[in-house]
Amino acid sequence: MYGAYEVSEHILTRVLEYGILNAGGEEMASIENTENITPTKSIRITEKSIARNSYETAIVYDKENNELFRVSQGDASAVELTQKQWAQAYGMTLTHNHPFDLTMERYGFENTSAFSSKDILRGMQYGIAEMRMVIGNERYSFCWVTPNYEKTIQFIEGLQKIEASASAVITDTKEAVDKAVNISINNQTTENKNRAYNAILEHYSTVVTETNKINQFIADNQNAGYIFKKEVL
Amino acid sequence: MSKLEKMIKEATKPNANGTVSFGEPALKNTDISGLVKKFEESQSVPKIKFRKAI
Repeated sequence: MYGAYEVSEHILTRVLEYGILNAGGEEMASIENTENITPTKSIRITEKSIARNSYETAIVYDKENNELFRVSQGDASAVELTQKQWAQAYGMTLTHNHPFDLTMERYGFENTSAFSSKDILRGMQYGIAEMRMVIGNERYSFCWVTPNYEKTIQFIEGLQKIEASASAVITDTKEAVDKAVNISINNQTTENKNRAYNAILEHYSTVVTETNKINQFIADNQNAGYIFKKEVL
Repeated sequence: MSKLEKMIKEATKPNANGTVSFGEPALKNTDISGLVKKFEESQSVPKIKFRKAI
């Protein structure tokens, strides 16, 4: 089935071997027919406890949902796992939070986020059975089921393009905020104040829109051989 | 090296200390809290002009 690509076959087979679900064949099982991927209560409670943190924590659970280890070191928007820890995470559930933005919430926007293409590839390489992510009131789940080589490449390339395009848009709105804020500080008129305020709202609104686009793309490409779910935390 | 393998190699490139990062959000440049703070502080604190004591 995966004979056309020797090295990748090894990678994909490892994921298949330890995948928590097996749809069978190259056809994706419909989401409705899959097993429940909502975790046990203890994992849900733990996920809720980290969902509003401004720094990241990653927690690995074994197949019986016992916590194996957790990591919080790294910069604010990533953690660092040693090769030993990645080996321990093989075939297990890896959950983590994305940094919560209190300022965004204060301006009336729900925090939202999306898995990066890099993390999806890491999950594949290290045989993570299920990769989970929480932020604010949202929980996301991603697991490879029956990866299709060609469609996986198309999916990752497409995701990388959307990430780059979204990132460029966000950079623009961020620069607009920077400019508007500086003008409002140097010349404190009501008009300038409103412009700065609106630039802030525009930025946060764009973050939500662009993040939703990424999540929609992930949701639309499950024929690459994975299951993606979004739930209310 | 296959295309997928190249992608994976790039994504799992070790840090200087040998670890491999995990958890970066798809969008990393969203935080404007510093700018918002600067804006709010400029609005809430009136500029006071001090006169030289005569």
